Amino acid sequence: MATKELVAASSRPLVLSILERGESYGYAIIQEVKQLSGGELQWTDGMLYPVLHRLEREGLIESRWGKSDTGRKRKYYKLSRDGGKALQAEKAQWVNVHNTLAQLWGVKPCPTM
Amino acid sequence: MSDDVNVSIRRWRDSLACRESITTEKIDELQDHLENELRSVTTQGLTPEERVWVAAGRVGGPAELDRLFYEADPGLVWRRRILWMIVGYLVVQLWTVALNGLVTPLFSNLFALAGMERWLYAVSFMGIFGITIGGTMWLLYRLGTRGTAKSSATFTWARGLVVFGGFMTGYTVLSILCGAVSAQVNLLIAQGLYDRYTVEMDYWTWEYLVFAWMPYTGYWVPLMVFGLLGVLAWRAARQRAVV
Repeated sequence: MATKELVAASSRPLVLSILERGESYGYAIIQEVKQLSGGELQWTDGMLYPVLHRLEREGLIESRWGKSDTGRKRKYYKLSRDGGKALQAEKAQWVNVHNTLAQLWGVKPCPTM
Repeated sequence: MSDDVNVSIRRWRDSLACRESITTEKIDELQDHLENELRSVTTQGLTPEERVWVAAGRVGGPAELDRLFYEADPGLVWRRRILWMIVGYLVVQLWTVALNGLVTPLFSNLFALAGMERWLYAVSFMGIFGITIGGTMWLLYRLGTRGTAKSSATFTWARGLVVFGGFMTGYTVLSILCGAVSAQVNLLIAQGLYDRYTVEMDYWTWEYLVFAWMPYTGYWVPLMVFGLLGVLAWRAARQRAVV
């Protein structure tokens, strides 16, 4: 299970990556994260919304109010042009961290992995 | 959706509405999330209230959400406070125009005709200001809490009264002090420039301060009282709304 700090740090690239695939909304984004991580990334669901709003204020994502299939009010988000660029920068950083750790662990692999 | 669920959802909305950084739009968005969560807790043999409670727990507590939203946009809380201050300021300015244009001339002439004594004159104006401003505040307060004790409107109005009352109290106290200081300074300048005025009245005597400003206590005491009522209504509603 990922620590709280790691969950918080990874929320930004996760949200941007999910929205890169197409328009989505809060609940669906969380379900997707849970599913992809096999439950390893446990979010307090409400945590996502401040992240979404912050990304929107930074101009990385855009939102609109729409309707769900049952006719409820729902807020949809999609990636903006700037968001695409920000995602590329995030990817480079995370791949870098990943490669560094992989090299270190390649020398002395973790037995549980 | 059943009525029981709707009542519980309403109560949950209230618990969020009394947090400063959670706007109605954010609550609408969170409600969509809550209702999605609700669908996944339907089959566990719980009462409607318990189901909402479980779903709300997954979304997160009001205090935690408030903190997270605040961190995401700290300026929002102050932008809203300043908006209320401006609204309060404009309302009181409008009232001041009405008082100075209609009420004050009418009553001061009446009192002068009646040959009223100085202290009675000051006390009467204190009462007149108190009734008019107090009446306005009372109306605002009633509007804010009438029949909507459990809706978000209460919180908005109560919060507005708190900020508005606090701001106007500070504003009035400051204008009394500034008024006294500037009157004294003007007098000194006039003396220095023309050397023909004599000090007939010292603006810093208790007598002057009491008689000149007593009427205005009728102005800011109601503001303070209703500001306090706003705080109490807000706190009570917040306690009632804890999920």
